[in-house]
Amino acid sequence: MNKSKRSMTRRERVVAALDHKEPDCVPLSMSITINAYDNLKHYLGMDLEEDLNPGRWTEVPIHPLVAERFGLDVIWLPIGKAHKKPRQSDDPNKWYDEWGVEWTKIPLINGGYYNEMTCPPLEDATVQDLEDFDWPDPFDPGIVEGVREYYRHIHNDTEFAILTRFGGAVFEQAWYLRGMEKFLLDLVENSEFVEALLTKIGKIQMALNGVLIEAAGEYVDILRLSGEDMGTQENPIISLLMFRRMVRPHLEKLWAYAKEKLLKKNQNAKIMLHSCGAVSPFLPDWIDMKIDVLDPIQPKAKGMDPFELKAAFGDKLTFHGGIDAQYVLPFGTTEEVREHTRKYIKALAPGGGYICAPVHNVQGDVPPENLVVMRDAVEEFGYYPINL
Amino acid sequence: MKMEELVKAVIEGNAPFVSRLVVQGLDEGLEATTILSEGLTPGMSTVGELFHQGKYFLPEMLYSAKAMTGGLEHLEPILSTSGSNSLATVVIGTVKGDLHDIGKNIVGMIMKGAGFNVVDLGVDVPTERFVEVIYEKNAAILALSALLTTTMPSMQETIGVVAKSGIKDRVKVLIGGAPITSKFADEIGADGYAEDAPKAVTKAKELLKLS
Repeated sequence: MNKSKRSMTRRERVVAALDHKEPDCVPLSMSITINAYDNLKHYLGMDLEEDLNPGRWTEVPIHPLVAERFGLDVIWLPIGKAHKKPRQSDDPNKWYDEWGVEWTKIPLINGGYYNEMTCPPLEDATVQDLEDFDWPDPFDPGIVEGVREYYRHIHNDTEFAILTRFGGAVFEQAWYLRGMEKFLLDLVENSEFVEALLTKIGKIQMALNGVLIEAAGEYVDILRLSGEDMGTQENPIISLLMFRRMVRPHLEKLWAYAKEKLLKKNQNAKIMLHSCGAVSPFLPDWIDMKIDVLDPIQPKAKGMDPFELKAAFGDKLTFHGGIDAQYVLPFGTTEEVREHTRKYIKALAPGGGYICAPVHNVQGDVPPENLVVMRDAVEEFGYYPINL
Repeated sequence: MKMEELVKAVIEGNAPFVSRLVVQGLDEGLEATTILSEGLTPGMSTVGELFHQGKYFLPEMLYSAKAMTGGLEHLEPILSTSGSNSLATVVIGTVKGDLHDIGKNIVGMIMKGAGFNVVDLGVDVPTERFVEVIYEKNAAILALSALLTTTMPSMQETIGVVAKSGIKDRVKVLIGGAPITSKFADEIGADGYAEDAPKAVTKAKELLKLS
């Protein structure tokens, strides 16, 4: 990468973009699954021994040396693991997360594996059962262990902007616990249960945000408050009316608390919502709820045209994402990846407010060559002033 | 029993009322096929239209589908003994490696509501299993679902196995799921692609020349 044209540090570049100011170049961010990460390291010729512990979605943190070599401006940092061990499974391919959700390692046809939820623990629960459920403890000391030191190290000793998730989702966590179909039906026929469940989850996520912001908030540039997926390929999952009535109050409380607490630690920090799919009808509400950054701008979902989104919301939202994972990255040609990246820079980058990134944890079917083409396209087209 | 009340009850997702009206209709001597084709099917068809128009979303559609399924349970024993009932048999499942089934489940329910005999093989279905059941049930449609790009190759593999076993001319393959496009359907030799559940019904009828 030709660094000579760059006049800002990686973090300065990200901070400017988040501030809706034009940096020297469009910043680059990425999250990745273990299969794709191994392929990428191999492709970059990096022989790095790492003790990787993939998350729920088989995603792994990218080592700063890999991030540096590849050319990322944003680095995703993990949090600690609770000391209390989750329930163990006798089946070596199954495991439980801290919420008691059962996951299974499913082999993929072209190699590697993916973790899939296979048993929601609250499928048959009543409101009363929620009181007796073994909820995760947000105050478990393991969760903050080493976090402050590591975040400070990355902040002080590297140039990366730090992106992290502390407390996670509420709406989406509810389907993991209840089962998606059951939870969607609950929204129509069992609002009392929905309210009780979202309240329980919201309290835990809020406490997690609290303890982790306290531990390392000053080092965080972007706090991701989710994945709160609210869209399918074609439509929002739920109506705007239902969102406002049943979901918004819970998210509003959680987001407001996180933002207020985070800004006290770092006045430049931003909060980011990740929500897949066709979510454009929700954007005015999310802006009203003080979201700063929207991820991932899923290109193939309906109503997510980047030019239209930039025109309508670009003064209020920074966009993070845009690089298609449903066709372009896994199956696209070099030229398609280059052209797609160019299009998203053209649409979203003018005036700042854009961090280029794949729309999803990069999966094992994405050729590392395509990631490099994406990066090179940022280098080719991403210098300000954008003139495409 | 007034048929328009049944249609309305399906649209509103009023499960107890749908069940009651179906039982009442049977008691009054209505044919099970009539109750299905003039009550449950048009009800679900309207739900599909409302979904397309963005007036219904997944929760409302699932709620109606659940009510319709409850009504259908009263009719199924009669329909299965009377023989010539369903439009055709559909074998449906998510392909090998893919466990995401909400889309597949909705397609299955809506197809049932439209009068198809639906054999749901569930999730992560081995390719050979699809072939076995197509034989066994004399299916006319094979409906495959995938959510992940990493499981899309399993669709291609399944179609390959169907072709190799010499039954490709007997069954039409319909595919769907978030990353799927009609271009991909063409590339892997599927007969059709549908972007959502109501479209899957239209497409299946079209492929079987039923509409």
